[in-house]
Amino acid sequence: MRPNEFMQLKIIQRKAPIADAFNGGMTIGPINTAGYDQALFLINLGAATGGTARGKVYAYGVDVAAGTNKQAVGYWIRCGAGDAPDTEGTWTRYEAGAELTTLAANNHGTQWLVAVDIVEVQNVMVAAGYVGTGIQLIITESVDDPIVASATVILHPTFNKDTQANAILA
Amino acid sequence: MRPNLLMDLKYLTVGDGTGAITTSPIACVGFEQALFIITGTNNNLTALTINAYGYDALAGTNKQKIGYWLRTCTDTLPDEQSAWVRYEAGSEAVVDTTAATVVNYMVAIDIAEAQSKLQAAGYTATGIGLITGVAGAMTNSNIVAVLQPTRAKATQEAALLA
Repeated sequence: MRPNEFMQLKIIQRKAPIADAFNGGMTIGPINTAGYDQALFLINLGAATGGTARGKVYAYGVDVAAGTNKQAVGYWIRCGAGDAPDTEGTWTRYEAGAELTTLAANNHGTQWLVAVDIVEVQNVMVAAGYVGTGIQLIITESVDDPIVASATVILHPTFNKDTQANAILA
Repeated sequence: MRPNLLMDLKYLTVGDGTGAITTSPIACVGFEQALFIITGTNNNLTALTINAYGYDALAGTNKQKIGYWLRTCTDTLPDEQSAWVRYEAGSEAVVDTTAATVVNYMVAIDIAEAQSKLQAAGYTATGIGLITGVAGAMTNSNIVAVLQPTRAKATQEAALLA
């Protein structure tokens, strides 16, 4: 049988679905970068109370589990098309520090996909004089409208192995 | 820059709820591997059953049980995951979830294998899907399908059968 690449991925639920998820900021991670070279944050959105929810996305490299010495890093984002989740947007690149402000988050079943290149993150951290230990995603609420959201993190290992490294920094 | 494999995949929410879930059938055409991510929070959930099917039509007719692999959380932490366990066609996985506070299970299906199974039964291999059953309930359970296309492309093909 052909090798199944999916079975090599590390997949963890990092935020269970919670109501008003972006109120006060939704922090996902830090996620361990050792042993992985690519990361994807899958944000699943549920119903928004007023249908006007908006979020801003920030991606960071961190040098310890506590998330200190954060450095903004670039990322790519693809947004699902509301009530037509099978119709996707294109991947859009955001450079380090750029914030996404136009995400519509008002449709049940919509997804935001945020991809981070871990090698790029490590380069940013090393250039700033830190150890590139983890990555973190923070979503803030740019329009006050409670929305249900959850987050799953998918990590691509640097090489195939039977047991993946822990993904949660602790 | 190296190609980012994760960005070439198709991601789709195919089911949610608090109890048993029948996922929307996923098209086989254009994809070669499928992974279903089952998440949720335990709410007196004691067992979760999983069956995988191939379909020959949108309505899910002529469904045939197909083989799959299952990886579960082995503890209350999503980071502590089991080895992949193979379930042959017709085998139903029954996962004891009594000790799990977090549900984070993965089901991998080889689409070529599913197609072979359906064709051997005399049907056209059109789609695949999961049917889960529960003893107890989960809070905000969610099933996401991750699909690997047969070739890389900027825009993925539609995956929901319609």
